[in-house]
Amino acid sequence: MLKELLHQRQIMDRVAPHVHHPTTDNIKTPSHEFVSAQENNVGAEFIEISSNESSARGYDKINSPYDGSSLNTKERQLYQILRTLEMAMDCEKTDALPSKKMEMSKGKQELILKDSKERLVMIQSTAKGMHIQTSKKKNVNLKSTQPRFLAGPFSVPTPFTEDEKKLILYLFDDKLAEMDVVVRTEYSSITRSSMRSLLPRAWIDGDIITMYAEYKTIEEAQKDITSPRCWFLPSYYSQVVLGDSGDLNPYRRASRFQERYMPQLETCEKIYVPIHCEAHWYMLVIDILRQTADIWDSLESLSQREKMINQSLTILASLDFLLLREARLRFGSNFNFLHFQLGRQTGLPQQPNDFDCGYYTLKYMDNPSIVADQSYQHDSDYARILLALYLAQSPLNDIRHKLMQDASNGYGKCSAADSQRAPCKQASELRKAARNINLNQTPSEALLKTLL
Amino acid sequence: MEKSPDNIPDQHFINLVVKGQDNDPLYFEFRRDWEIKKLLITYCEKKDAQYGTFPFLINGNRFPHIRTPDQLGLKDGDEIIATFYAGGA
Repeated sequence: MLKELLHQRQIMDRVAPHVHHPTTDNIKTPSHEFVSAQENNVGAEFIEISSNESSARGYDKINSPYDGSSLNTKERQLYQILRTLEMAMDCEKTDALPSKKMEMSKGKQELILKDSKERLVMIQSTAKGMHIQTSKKKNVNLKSTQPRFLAGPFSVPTPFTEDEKKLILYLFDDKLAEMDVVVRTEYSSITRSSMRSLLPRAWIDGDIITMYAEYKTIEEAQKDITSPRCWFLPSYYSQVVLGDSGDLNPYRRASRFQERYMPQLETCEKIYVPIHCEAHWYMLVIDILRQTADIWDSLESLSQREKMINQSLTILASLDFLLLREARLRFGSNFNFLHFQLGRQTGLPQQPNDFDCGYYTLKYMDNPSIVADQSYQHDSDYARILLALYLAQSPLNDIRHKLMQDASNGYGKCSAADSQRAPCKQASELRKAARNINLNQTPSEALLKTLL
Repeated sequence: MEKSPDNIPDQHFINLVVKGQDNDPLYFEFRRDWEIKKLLITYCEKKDAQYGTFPFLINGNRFPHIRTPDQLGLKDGDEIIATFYAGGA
């Protein structure tokens, strides 16, 4: 199989120096550090296509807004060539490529495959033509071998429906206006730029946490009035209280949140306060009945401990400022939020990466939360996509009907892009055709001719 | 900052203050029937920031920027808080 490809490469190298190469002008020379970059999973722009997915499908994704519209004609042609090569490889020894992984990077103009010996094969396009390299290391581990499905920019363990896929594409499309509101309730909103913070490996925005708290607050208000209550404060509460505002009394600004997020102290039992500390989210859970305040942190670090304690005390002091008179009527004249026992919740599941603290923080608001579930297996992409769909599709989202309509109108071609892969017979024909390249033509022209 | 021309009566204007995290509030005199977005863009320009950099809050809540001060129910002297988009690992 590799011989086959190398044969093609020789053909191309022979042709390329003499002929002006139409497809690869203006393309940067790719870096040669591809193996190490893959191992470290560097480069967020990779699109992963797993073994159970059809290989052709990934390239059909060119029509999706994440690759297609930004490509110029030359790049499109290049993809077509790569696709032909890939198909040729694929149908040659389909059985010998059980764990074939393929990654495609827009910027680097290269294609990475795994061959039967678990080595990486990289097909690069340079100014001189096509290069095919094989990595020296064997058994390079790319990512998990579980079957994954693509849904927009996410790779997920279970497939989504067409409607959901369209919605995801619509929510995260970077071609559409960033300031478009995609989720709205009476008091909060999420713009597309905030929604895009749910993209894989991105840092989750305070707006997402605020909206989740908002949903929780609304659900709490719909509950039976006699049941125990929780307050879910928005992420802006701590930002406003802890921020340097220049006011004589910084807590006075916090009073603006009181009407909306702090109803009826008499029935309140717990207060959840998401706090932002040095590019990290954590949750302060205040239990009024037990008079404790616990820090719930999904990434415990000693260096930030002192700052977190100071922040937590400031939050407690702000609650004293807002609620002390009311609270003393209920709990007696010695009641004081600042006298609460400050602690740290132990045994929390820890985030397995360095970008999911926001997700863990908002999940701590759930009851029963993931804290109680020790068997919880964190799957970042899947968790994020479910959260995005939950926020968008919830009946609490005032504009969800318009959103769904826009999504299904704007992405009618989605189903065509996800069509089944070409049958093997057709691929082998393409391979044969690709082999009989007319040497008088440039390789791209010849390949394109066979394709089109 | 909008200056009121002589021919428009004063009740068409509202005084607003935008407070950021930088201890340097800006005071605005603004038309009651203009979209508040105009004011927020001006604020961002004065702070050398791009519009969309700050989340703005009125009474602790985000608000639609295409509304006017009247539609938002703002009163003279009300303040708008400019916080920051906090991401975290």
